[in-house]
Amino acid sequence: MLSEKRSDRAVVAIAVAMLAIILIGEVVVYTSDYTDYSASASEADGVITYTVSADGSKNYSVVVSDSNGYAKVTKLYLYYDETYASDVEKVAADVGAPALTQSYYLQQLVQLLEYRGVTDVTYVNAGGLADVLSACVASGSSAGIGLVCLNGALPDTVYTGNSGDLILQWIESGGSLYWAGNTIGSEYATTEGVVAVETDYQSLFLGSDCLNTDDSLARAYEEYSGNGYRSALSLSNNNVKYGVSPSMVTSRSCLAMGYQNSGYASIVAVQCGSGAVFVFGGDYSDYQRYDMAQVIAAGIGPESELVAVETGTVTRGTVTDTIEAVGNDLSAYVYLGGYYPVYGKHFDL
Amino acid sequence: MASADSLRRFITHPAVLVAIAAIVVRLVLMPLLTYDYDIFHWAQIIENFQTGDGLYDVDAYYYTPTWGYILGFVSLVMDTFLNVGDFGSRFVDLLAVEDLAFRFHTATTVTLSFAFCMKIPIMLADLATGYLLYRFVRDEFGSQRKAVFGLALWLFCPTLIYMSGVQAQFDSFSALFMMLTFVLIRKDRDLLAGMTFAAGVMLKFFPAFTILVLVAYILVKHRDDGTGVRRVLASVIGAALVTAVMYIPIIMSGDVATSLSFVTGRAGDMQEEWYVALFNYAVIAIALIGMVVFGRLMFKSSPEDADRDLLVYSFLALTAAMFMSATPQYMLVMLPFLIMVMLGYDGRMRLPYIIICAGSIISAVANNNVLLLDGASAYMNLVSADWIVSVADILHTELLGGNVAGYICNVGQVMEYAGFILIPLIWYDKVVERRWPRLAAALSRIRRWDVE
Repeated sequence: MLSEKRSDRAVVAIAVAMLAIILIGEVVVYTSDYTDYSASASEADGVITYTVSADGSKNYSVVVSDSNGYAKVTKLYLYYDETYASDVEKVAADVGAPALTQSYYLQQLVQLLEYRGVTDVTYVNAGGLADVLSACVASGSSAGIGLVCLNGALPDTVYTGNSGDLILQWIESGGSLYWAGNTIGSEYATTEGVVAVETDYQSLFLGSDCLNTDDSLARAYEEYSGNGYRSALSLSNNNVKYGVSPSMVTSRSCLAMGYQNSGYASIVAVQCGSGAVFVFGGDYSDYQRYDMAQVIAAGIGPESELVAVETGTVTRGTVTDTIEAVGNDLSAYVYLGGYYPVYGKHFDL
Repeated sequence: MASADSLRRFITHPAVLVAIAAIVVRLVLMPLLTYDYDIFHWAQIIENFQTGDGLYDVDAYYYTPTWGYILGFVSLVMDTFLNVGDFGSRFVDLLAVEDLAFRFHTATTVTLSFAFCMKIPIMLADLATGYLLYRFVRDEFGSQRKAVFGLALWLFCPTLIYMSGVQAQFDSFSALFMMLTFVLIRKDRDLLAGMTFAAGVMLKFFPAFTILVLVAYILVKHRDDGTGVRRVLASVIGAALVTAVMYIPIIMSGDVATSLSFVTGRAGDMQEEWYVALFNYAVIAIALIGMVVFGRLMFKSSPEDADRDLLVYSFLALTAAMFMSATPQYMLVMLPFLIMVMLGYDGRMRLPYIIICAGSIISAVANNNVLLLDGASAYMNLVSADWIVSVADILHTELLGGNVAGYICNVGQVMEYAGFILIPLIWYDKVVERRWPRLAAALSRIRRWDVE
């Protein structure tokens, strides 16, 4: 009888413990957020002092770059218009996962940007995009303003394949275009469908023919070795479909990052006037989205140079340290979590 | 002195020795072998809620919420007591594993410390389920030997070892919640049983197929004292309470549909070729028919036979649910019941036990094969990444429309289905004898595991 009572108690204890674990876990899931982490960085006399804090345990990276005049994006527009045609490949989703549509991709990108410190984000449709870009161009400078286009084709309100198109004026005036999902500039979109561009669209955006138009050339199996940004920014997407070959970019500054196959890189930023075009290789993927958020938040531009990287672990407290760095236009991007980032912040130094 | 003696007696107890051996086996496997893909998602899920994105705002979590909340608790333990700042890295040398025919692999491999953090809680669930099974067999069937044997059959099922020691799949918790529900309902702990049942269903939905058996059991057992309906109501309240608590934030964020994607996502398979769709409809029909038929049989039972029938019909209802998919880990929720029925009522169940365990482990290992060494390569340099990639490439090279790894996996799945089919044939051998005497004769030749 005694044994039976003890058995009863043990069973009840296991059940209660399991339910308590679930309840406590639920509280953790819905009360945790990126404000559990913080970072700061400042520079004086060639020495950068940084501080990183975490409630738990996280590895951190301090990525110091010299942007050489590139203005980090502080205002970001996301183009999305259901009434306009798009041209992107449907990609396979995990079992049970929602389809990675354009709207879902953008919705998640906003989330990823938020905890990386990029919070001024606005959706625009085809008409709104034309208004925004026109206003920027009229103001004389679009520096610090970014546009994400994942539609596979820019709308005809800003692009029709001509050198005088509004989108090109806007980039040349300092805007940053972040592009993924199709060959940039090869088509434009209308409410009726997409229209193939007959002109030299590659030169319009990138200054030369440098795009990967071979769909079978997609996966990359080696790091782009020109700089250390792949590991410094924990870049993950190793797809170069629709990507740019940096060696084929002529007469313009460009920065390639990530992975490479046959000369094509998974991420390339190409200067265009005062602005920049960023091409992310591959069809939609979670990895691509992660990289896009990381590159936008880190403030990397076509002439950025990696000056220093410092990594470490912060555990239930604060780490303060210094980095010696020299450059014209230094900035630091501090992020926690490595390939599983939970926090990021950019500092102009 | 007395406490030293009792400690010695405890440590040398056969059940404790079995448990220690099971722990050692898992601890040895944990750093050496890891299935990269699932555990990569566990890291992403933790990352997502640590940023404030909950379980469903950003891709990674495709289940009802229980496992996500367990991960919440695990992350709390990690943050409060441990120093696991690095979850994992992306290894350039392993990138090719993402292009194999079996696409569920990643070169973003978790660290050994993170792998331990995910696997140890699952191992603890193995042990807790084993404890419940041990106590039940000992108390119900009055045999210490049977109880220890049952514990060993559970803890040393190769698929269970694989899921907690290698793959870090959480079906051990499904088994634990199902066992808790079963034991609690027998002890008239109706409210608590309802709670564990709901938590189990919201982990993976298989326990849901026993709902009619469980309700019928309460009504039958308490037919004489007239408390059946009240007790069912208590269970419903328990289940509703847990469901409400777990789902309030999900309802508020509008993610209910996403949270059910484990079920609805699999419904997408219905859009496959007609014969695949037909097969999928057929196996769902088997599961639903099993749920109804065994629920009805339970309802027709008597108060005297209710306890026995609860075990048998829960087992058979879960077996019917297993037809829905031969994915290796799913059968773990049914396995304790198979062991209990085998030890208590029919030793011939040894054959389905062996076939199902062998089939599921073959299936699990076949697809992942040398890729289980990804972590050992990346963090321990035990094998070269080139070797892993080249062997995996051979195993996944197209051959007659499929690939070697896939064919071996299919053999394992066919074995699992054979085991699932054997179970009702053995249990209902009298019916089989009337209709198919030759089959019945063959079944009668199956050796029994008669432990005594």
